Amino acid sequence: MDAMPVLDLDGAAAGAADLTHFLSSLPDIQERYKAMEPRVGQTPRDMIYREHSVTVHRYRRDTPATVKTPFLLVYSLVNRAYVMDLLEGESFVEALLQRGLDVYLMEWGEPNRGQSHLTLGYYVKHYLHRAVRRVLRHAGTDKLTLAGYCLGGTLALLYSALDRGERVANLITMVTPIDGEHEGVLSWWSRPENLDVDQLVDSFGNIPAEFFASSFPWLVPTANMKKLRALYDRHEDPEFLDSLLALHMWGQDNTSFPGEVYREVMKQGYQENTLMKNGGWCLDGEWARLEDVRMPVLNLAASYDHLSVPESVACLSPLVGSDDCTEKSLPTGHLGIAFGKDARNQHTPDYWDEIASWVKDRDVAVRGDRHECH
Amino acid sequence: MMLNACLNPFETQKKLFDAWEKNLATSMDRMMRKPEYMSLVSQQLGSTLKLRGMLREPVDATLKSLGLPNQDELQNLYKTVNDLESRMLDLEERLEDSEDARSAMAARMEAPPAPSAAPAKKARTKSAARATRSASTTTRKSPRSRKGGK
Repeated sequence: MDAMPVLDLDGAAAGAADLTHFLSSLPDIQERYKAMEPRVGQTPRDMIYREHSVTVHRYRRDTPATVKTPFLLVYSLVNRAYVMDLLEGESFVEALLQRGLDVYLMEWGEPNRGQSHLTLGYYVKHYLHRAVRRVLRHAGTDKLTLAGYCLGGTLALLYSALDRGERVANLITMVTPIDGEHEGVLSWWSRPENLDVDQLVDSFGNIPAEFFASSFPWLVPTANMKKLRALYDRHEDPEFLDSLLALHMWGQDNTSFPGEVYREVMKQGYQENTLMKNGGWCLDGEWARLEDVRMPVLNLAASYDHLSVPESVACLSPLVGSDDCTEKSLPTGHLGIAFGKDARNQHTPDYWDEIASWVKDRDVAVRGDRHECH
Repeated sequence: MMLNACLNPFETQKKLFDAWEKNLATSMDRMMRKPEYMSLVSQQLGSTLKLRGMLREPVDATLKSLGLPNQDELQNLYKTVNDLESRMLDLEERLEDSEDARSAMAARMEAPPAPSAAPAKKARTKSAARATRSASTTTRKSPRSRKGGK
């Protein structure tokens, strides 16, 4: 005869108490969420360049930088860049400052209607080029380290290909999609039979933030359920709660995507898979060839990334002309390289150490003094 | 004798939830990769965009009748303003470049000439040290010259 289960009365009582406690703390969690906005992106900084929606900020340092080569971080075009400086103690930017780097952050901002016709070539050859020159002038150096996150990495890569080492001393690409024909859902969605890119861009101009806000959650449809489950288990851990809420707030805070750039990224990047098939990208008639990327390259993928799946990221090494190309897949998610202390991302500070020491090892000579131009 | 298993309804519920979430994620991922599903999504998006296009003409007509700019006109205005801002920045950069060039030239004029003959070893070392000091002083005084645009 099978054993009959016996009700664990103590366990059930504890579970009921947990549930009651969780439900009673929901209003406090809601208040905490509302108070989150002034707490993100708080590392002190000064704007050194603004053009249309694009800005570059330099983060203030209390002590002189031990790494002389300035570090320009370029974020993606889809979300807001403050995820690079999300919360005190869990900020990528803050961590780089603590490790002796002179950090600049390029933000694309919310594009205005007049930017909808601007091409990817314009974004690389005009905005990014101007940003690089402003940083070099501000830092008083000949060269910098260019780092790009997600699609920002694609722009940094293309710029470095055109620059041919004139201004870019080192290149870091993080969770940057290279192979557009990988098996991720995003790649499947963007196939020509599934998405009429021309119709979308011609209709909207800039692709509205709402379009991404409504489609991105479908990449991991149960993500919100997972968040709720984690919230239930760890709602008494204030550090975890802050991380979860800040990240959730950032996830809801999309920006519009410049129309023509979207058309090119979808068509050339995903549908034609130009980086893999042609070894480069045609920017307004000029080829940015990956074989011209000859400076040291650090390419980081994330094993649990659902947006830039690791197979699409960790394939840069054979394409670039650099003899010093380090490629790594880290056991984390899409944002785990830049943010996190939760269970999955507890090793994030190790990644920061790795990035900082890679840059330190490749620090180049500096020309002279800083131009302070606040 | 058979041991009775202890049942905690809350723990069981959590395990059930986790299993359900995992299976749901797998099923939905499979569903979203089906051509039939994507075809439906694509059709829906296409229809929405077509409707948007159809609405544009009457909206433009209404705006015109009210003397208000339409989307294209506003876009052109934005382009003009953007273009002006970019041109202003170009001019600022040119000014900075020429200031740098002027400062660099002034610094070169002020710098003492290098010694022509090679003196004894000890004296040569001192003179090199002086030249280095002089160069670094000049560097600190003068703003950086910057490479031109692409």
